[in-house]
Amino acid sequence: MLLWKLAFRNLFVHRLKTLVTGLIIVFGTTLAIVGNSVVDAISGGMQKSLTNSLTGDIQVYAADAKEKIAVLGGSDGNLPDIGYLPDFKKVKTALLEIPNIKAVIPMGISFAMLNPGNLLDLKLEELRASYKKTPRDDARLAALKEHVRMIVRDIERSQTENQDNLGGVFGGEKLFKDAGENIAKALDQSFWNDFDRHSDARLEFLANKMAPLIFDDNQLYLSYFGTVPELFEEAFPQFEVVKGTMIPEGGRGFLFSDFVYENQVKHRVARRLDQIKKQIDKEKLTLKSSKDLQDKVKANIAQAAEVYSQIEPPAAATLLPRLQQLLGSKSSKFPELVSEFLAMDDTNFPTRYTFFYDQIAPQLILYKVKVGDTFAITGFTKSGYSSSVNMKVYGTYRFRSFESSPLAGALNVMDMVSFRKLFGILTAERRSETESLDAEMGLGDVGRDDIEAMFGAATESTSETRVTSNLQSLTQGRFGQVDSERRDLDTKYSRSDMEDGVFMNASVVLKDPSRLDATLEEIRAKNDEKKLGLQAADWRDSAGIVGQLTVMVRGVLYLFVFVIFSVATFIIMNSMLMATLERRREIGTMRAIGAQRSFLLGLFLRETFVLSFVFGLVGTLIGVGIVLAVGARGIPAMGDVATFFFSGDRLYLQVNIMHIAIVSLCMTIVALVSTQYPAWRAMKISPLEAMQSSE
Amino acid sequence: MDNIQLSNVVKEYHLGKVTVPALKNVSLSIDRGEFTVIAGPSGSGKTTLLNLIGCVDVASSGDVVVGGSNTAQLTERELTDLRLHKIGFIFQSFNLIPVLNVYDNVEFPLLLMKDLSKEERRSRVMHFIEKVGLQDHMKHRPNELSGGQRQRVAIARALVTKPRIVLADEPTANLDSVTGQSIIDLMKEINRSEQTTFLFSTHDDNVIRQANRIIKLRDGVIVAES
Repeated sequence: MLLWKLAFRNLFVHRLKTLVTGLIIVFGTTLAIVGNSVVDAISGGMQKSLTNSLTGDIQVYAADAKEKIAVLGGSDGNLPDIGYLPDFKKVKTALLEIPNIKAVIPMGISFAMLNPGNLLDLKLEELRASYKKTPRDDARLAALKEHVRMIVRDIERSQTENQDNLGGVFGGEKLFKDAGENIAKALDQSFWNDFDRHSDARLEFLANKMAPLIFDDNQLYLSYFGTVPELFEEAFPQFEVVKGTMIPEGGRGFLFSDFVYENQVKHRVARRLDQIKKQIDKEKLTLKSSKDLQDKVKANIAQAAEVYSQIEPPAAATLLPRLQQLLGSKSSKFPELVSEFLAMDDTNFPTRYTFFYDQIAPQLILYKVKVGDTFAITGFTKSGYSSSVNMKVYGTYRFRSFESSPLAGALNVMDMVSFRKLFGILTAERRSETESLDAEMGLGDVGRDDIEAMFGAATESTSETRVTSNLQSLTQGRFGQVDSERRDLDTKYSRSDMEDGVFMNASVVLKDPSRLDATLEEIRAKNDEKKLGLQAADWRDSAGIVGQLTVMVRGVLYLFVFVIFSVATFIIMNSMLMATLERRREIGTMRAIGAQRSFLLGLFLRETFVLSFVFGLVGTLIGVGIVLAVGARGIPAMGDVATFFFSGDRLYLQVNIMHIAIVSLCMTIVALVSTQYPAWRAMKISPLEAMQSSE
Repeated sequence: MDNIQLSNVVKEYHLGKVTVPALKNVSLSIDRGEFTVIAGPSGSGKTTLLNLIGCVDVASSGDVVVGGSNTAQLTERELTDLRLHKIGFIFQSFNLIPVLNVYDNVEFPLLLMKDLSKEERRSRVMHFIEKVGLQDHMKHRPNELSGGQRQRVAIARALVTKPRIVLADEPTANLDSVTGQSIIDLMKEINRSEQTTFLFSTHDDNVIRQANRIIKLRDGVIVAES
């Protein structure tokens, strides 16, 4: 009791010092509690995002893989070379013998490119289709032709404006040397006078000589995984189709991740408007105050051409007065009106957003690839060849409750058969076919000119399919051989076609995810027993760099807390040491009067204990308070990076008893460590100090 | 029985390589109930002698026997215990514990003794506080008291454990002469009533005159005894 009284009073007498030390402790404990809670929430969010979606609980892949698996990409952003395994069925059968395993789904993850063609490509394709239609819709044809002429005029303008730059880079290429001459030809009235009679040749000319002059970045880079779609749907109950339909059972096809579809495939301007709307609605940002939103508006204005050049002249004519009315503008120049329209502020944003989707969007190519389209996708095989297949887009999918998670929405889906074709890990038969094709085409860079030569584009050949094949050549030809198996698209495959054979990795879904470690061991045992040639990694290890993020974030947090606690330890030690020096005579007196050394140790321990307990408790309470107050409402994710870390729109925090226990333990350690040296020094103080006669 | 017994006590201090003799071959015995003054100029060894008797320091050679124990043979822990139970200290600068009030300061050594009941402690503390006349200042902190009052608290603290010996190192040095006299009177009164042995150092002639035994020290040697 005496010791407690002394401890409290000593702290009280030196209240400024006590307060400073106390505040450091409060800061450290609050940070530790809140920080841990945030990291837990992020970690938990990521775990849920990943295990309920792409990675499953465990990933298995070839034991002789050259690199570690990284479903969402490794540290360098590339997909690692994880090799492949020859027989999925064998692996699946063996693994399903383990009781805790609910499902094993074959996967193969890769990158691919697709180029849906630029605006002119698409318009020419439409025009070509219109010529084939009976009865002919002359008004539609005229509108399309007018639009194409407008696009060519845009090309002419950009050619003149960028003459110098282009000359330097592309001056050597025949296409660009002849550009001026060809543009003049395409803009000449005579070119259009008899267009209908020579439509095929004219379209051919425009596709080959004009379209390549547009420097649009239409290339889409997609990460995807091959799987057996219906198996995947079954194993991940949160999987749902958003747009379109599911890939039919046994069929070949492609599903975009809805996240990718909305964020990469959608028209850039529309996408930005969506983001602005979302941030205004959900995060209560304003255009006036948010630099980020202002930048989006600026980008939209800068890319107004992507809106007005996509609108056919007749539609533009209809839109013009409506825009004039909306904007209260007298300008009769459509491009100007569009730019002005896109310069939005807080007051007009809601009306203009609605106007955009009601009036403008229907005239735009809102998605570069439409649901229901068939497109050619190009991937690189292991051996370095490129390989293309035609795929039908059946729709988009997402994982319910992870709609806004970039993690869960990172990968697009493809059927296993297409994946094997594209990835080039196929039968020997297919391989030899590929090789002969390559030999035929000549290896190395295949330039556009070569492709054109190959398809005889320079001569005015009139085969109806030419435009199509040339259009495809834009995407496929540049990278290698064309998938010649268009018919293959409609072929139905049996489950065993899908499951038998090569796969790269497989998602293992557990019945009881909390028994993950034990199940990993069982998989390893099964692997040894059945010689499956597998290795297994939990979701964290297999997700790649993303899975390690929480570990790193937690590491940084712990480092930070460690530093703060170290500082606190140091400061407490220092102030205790000062106290022993200041109180030499007092301590000496106590010793002279008959206090044992242990009494002094007790006194010092109590002082630090009171200090760390009281302020540690305050810090813990503040931390818990913050977690409860902020955590229940959720921290809104500001921007894409936060959405990525939070695995969603909001981060919900929870109080964890473990954290409080850890913080308490830390504080005890701080108290004990910081007292050692001062107490030792104090115990060395001789009772003779009491006899020093100065006051 | 002798209360304090010193025989051939030598105390040397080492300052670097130089050895400074503080006491040279001192022999001395003090009986129970004596009121003894150690007199001498500064540096004569008064404080050293008190320190040795008070068991806060040990002799370089010779025997110091306090209350029947030879201090040279005791451990640090046993010396501390001896100080607690058999010796009371009164310091020149009072040396009260600043964060404790009068009552708590007086009670402090009793709490160190651990084996006293609460009632026993209370009655002893009250007895000595009344004895030194501070019953109206029990809740005061040392910095709220005058020098004389502080020294009274120190006296009460020294006596509360009922020690055989009370050692006082120049107890009046920091006090004016009137207050000093009242402190001496108080100590004499307690010496009479409690039969406590008092041994104190001073160079104040007024104090020296009132002792019933005077030991004069000069350069570490007893030069006169009366």
